[in-house]
Amino acid sequence: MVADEDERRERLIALYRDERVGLVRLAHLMTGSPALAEDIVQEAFLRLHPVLDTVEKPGAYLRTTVVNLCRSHHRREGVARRWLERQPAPGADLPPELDETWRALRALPEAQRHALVLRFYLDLRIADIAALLGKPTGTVKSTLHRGLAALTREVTS
Amino acid sequence: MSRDAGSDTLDRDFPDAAARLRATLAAVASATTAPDRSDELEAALSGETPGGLVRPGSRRRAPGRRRLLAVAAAVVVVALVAAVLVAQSREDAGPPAVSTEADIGTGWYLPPAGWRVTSVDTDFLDVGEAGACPCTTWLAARPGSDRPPTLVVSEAGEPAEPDTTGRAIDVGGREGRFATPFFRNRVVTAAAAGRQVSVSGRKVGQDDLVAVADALLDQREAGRDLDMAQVPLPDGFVATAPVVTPAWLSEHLVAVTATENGTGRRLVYQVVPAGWLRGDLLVARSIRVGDGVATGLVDGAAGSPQTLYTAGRRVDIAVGDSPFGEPTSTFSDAELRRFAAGLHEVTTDDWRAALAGAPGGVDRDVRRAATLTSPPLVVRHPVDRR
Repeated sequence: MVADEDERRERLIALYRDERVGLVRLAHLMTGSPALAEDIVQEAFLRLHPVLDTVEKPGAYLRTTVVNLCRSHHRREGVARRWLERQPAPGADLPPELDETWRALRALPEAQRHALVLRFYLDLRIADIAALLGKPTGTVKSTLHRGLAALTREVTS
Repeated sequence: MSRDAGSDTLDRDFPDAAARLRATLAAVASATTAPDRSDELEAALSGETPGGLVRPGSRRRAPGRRRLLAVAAAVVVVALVAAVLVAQSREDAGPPAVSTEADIGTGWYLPPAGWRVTSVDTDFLDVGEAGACPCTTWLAARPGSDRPPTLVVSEAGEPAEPDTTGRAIDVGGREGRFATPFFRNRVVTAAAAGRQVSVSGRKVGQDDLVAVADALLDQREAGRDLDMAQVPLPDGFVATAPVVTPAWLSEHLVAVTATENGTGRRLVYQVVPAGWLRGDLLVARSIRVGDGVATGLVDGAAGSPQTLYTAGRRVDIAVGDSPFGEPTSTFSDAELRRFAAGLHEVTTDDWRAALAGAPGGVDRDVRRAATLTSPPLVVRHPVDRR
């Protein structure tokens, strides 16, 4: 039993070292906060630990968990955390035109930002985004359109 | 993965924005550092304290000294109570704004006269952990304004992985944890008999949090039904009715956008199964408690509107803010309360009739669900089907 647990932890830590960077990047893009992104990824691995032996594709499980945590963290942590996130945060050192887009993206409604990141960073199909977010494909399409339209307005105004 | 027709349309309609967005996301991702925190992960898996969550300077006083201080403080408190009550009476007057206790029980609420539903969206709520429910949640507060002291209490199944946040403390002879996760809020957790009690408080001392947790765990260990009336709440606190979640459920919030006839002003109200919005009241500017229901006004961040929260017995309702960040009009406290007072629960047929006339989008699952707590909006998790 102890050996099983040791083995499971070793597997989890190895998985952490393989998958951590990509997951933190995804969570950063979805939440706009690098610190929160790290916490979310830690939490995702903690949630994976008890079910690691039964999960067929741990990488996919982790990605789904990270997306769900990014979407639900504000409701679990309450408005105080949401308020903190809305305060100005340092961005990456980007060329001006990309920095402008990054700032505009961070200012978008959460649903639009999440859908855009899943589409244009992970390159997921709309049907996959709909399944991941638990929303109808029509809603995802309209959310993506509204998001891109808003980005276009912001960066050209 | 290959692109599909919908995405091709996006690239065609917004070629510049799409290309720039891809470049931006790739650049930000490349610049994102992800330090190796595997040591923290291993420590958490081993049940060790990660540290860093305890607010510097927070110390627990000895019970004896606390009693002496309480006697001295009581003299001052008696002198102040009359003045405080007068100051609070206007804020406390009347019952909470929204009635969430109608006999209809659908959880479908329509806006007051003069408003129409323009769109309805949903978002899923985190399902938590297997085995956590059945679970119970209360809110207790000293009603008033100026960010009154508030407690949110929950009792649930003990998590599979031990709580390692904050630092170890004693909770009536049991090992508990004390943490200060954000702002001035403090949290005490402790477990007994396979159940865990969590007490989060604003402007409430650690000893008072421990006393609440201890009393509930005593009740559980004695095999009694949980009774907040027998729990030593801080002076002046009033508790809401408990919210009991029977099983591990996947639930959704329903966000209704309403538009005022004539002015075109937009307001969003969220309706969710009871229990979800209580944590938000920990940062409320003012709170009223009556008939087992609590209502509080929460300030928005700079530039965003304030929100009126109602923590009810069957549903919680938030009026004013959009969970999706969509812009809404600004409303005064009185306008929010007037709107909330006009929200009324309706039958499934009346709800569907209102949705039929909504010019904006209406989530498909909302159209299908008979009530707020029916499939497909609420699903009992397969692991708990036994």
